[in-house]
Amino acid sequence: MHIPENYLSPSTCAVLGAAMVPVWLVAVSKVRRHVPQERLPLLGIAAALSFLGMMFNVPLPGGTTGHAVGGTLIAILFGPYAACLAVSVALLIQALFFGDGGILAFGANCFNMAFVLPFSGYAVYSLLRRHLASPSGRYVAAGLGAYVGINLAALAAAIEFGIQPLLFTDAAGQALYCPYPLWVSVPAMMIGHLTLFGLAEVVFTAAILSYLAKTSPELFGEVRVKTGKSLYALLAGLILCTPLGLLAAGTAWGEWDPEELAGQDFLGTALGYTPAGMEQGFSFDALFPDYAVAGLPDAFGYILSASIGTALLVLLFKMAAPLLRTRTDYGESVSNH
Amino acid sequence: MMDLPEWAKREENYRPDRDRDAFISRSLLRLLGVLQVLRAQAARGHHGHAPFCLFLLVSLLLFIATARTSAFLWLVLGGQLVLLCFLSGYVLRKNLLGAMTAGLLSWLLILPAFLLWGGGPYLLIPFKTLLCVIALNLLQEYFSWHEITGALRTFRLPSEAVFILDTTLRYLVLLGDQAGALLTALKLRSVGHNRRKQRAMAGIMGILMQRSQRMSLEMAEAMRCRGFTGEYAALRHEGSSSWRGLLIPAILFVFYTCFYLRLEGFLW
Repeated sequence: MHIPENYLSPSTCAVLGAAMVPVWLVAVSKVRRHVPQERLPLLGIAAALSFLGMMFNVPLPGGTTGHAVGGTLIAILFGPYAACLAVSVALLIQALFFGDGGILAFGANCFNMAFVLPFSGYAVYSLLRRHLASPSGRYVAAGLGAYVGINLAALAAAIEFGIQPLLFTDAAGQALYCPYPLWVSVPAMMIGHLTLFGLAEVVFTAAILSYLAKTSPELFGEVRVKTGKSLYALLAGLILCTPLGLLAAGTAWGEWDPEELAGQDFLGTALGYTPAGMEQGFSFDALFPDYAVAGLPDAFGYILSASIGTALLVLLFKMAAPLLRTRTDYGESVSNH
Repeated sequence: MMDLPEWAKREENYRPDRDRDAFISRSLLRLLGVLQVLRAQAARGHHGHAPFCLFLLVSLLLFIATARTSAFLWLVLGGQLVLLCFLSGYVLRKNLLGAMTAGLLSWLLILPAFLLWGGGPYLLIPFKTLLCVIALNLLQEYFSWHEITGALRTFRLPSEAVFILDTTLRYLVLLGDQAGALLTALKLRSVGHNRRKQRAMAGIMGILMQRSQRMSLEMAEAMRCRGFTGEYAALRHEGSSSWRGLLIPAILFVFYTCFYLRLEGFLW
């Protein structure tokens, strides 16, 4: 679901980036007010979970792949605003260091995966929790929330892809950016997400939620919590398993290289050309493109990338915790008494 | 009715000149900061086998300095970032800022070479500097000074050197406390304009010198009374914690050695 560089026009990227700015500002202020400082490092661990979840590629018949995001899981644990920030930071690290998702398309990716996904997933979860109060009801609600969340996010990405050939074409009528119209992009994205990737998100969310409920029940309360060994063990386990993502050999729908794109035949015949906007567009060389480290075997590069990405997220949130602390207004507290 | 003396009836009109005595506060804050770091450092618990970790650090520094490929350096960075995750936010900021400053300085040093001759393997130097500083910071974050000096003794460092290092660190805290008290007194008593600021500071340093001499004599006497022969025994680890503390650094050592030899082309 990571939209690569030049698949969306710069104007689309700018609009979606501008739409995300107020969301981020509100999210920062909400997190400052509602998430205690002690829980912020945990938010980094949650962001790391999302980062790792996105490294497990699930193959789909037809040669494409997809992955879980974990946005609903973070929203359930810390609230949708905190999830928005956590997934945004995870996406930024993916784009900057690993070339997963474009730099220009960062706003669009955040809109889909850090805004639409956690907010819609959390809304469904909260709605269902009112009717399903039992402990097992939590997993049902979380699973359904995650399923709805990832599908709405995929739909948003499909619409963004699909409007490109309608809005941006050259004199010959060839698409400048993503060449697939809505009638191709929506079914192509949704078939995968309504089936396997949706299921992957449900399993990822419910499995981690049940693991955390057993090993770190304090995570679900309001009390001060300390980062437990079980959380680090979970991260370590996921990092070691990331090379499983290499088993799925194909590329996710809409994440092909420009050369790969020319050979795709989603319009009945092979596209046969590389859209001009993609050929001459912005390009950014990430440090570890596709999570590979030059000189190291693929599987090992994957584990190293996962370790570096996870550690960076935990460190970022740990260091940012004092910056996001609530400022106590002593004058106000005195005047209230 | 009580008859007050004339001087008591006079209105108080003492307005001291404004003086720039920020140097006292600044010295005091700096000193307290150093003391806080030293105290926190000394209070650190055991996080493994200090001598072996010191050996690992020295080997790692050698590997980093001689590495020609960035892949090995990325491996080291990955390990360091994971170890950094277990530190608190404040310590992290301090350590990373220091390491990044060192990296930036070394980048500035190689900048003329880059501008004149273009790219080359020397571009790895800032990265290597960053990694070396993080590695050193990690050692002092995970081990107290006492453990590190004890570990130095295991490497047959002369007792005199260990003694000087250990005593310096202990007396930094003791004398630092006294300097803090003297600076506080100076700050409280500094009213009005002080034209001889350097004398005030020199006075503090002089008093500290006198006290340190007295303390060194007391220490020498105390050591003689306790039968200290100038020999430092190496730190001993006993029980199950010893092998567990040894296991992780040993695994790291084997891991990094194998990858260094493989990636630098010494094996296969």
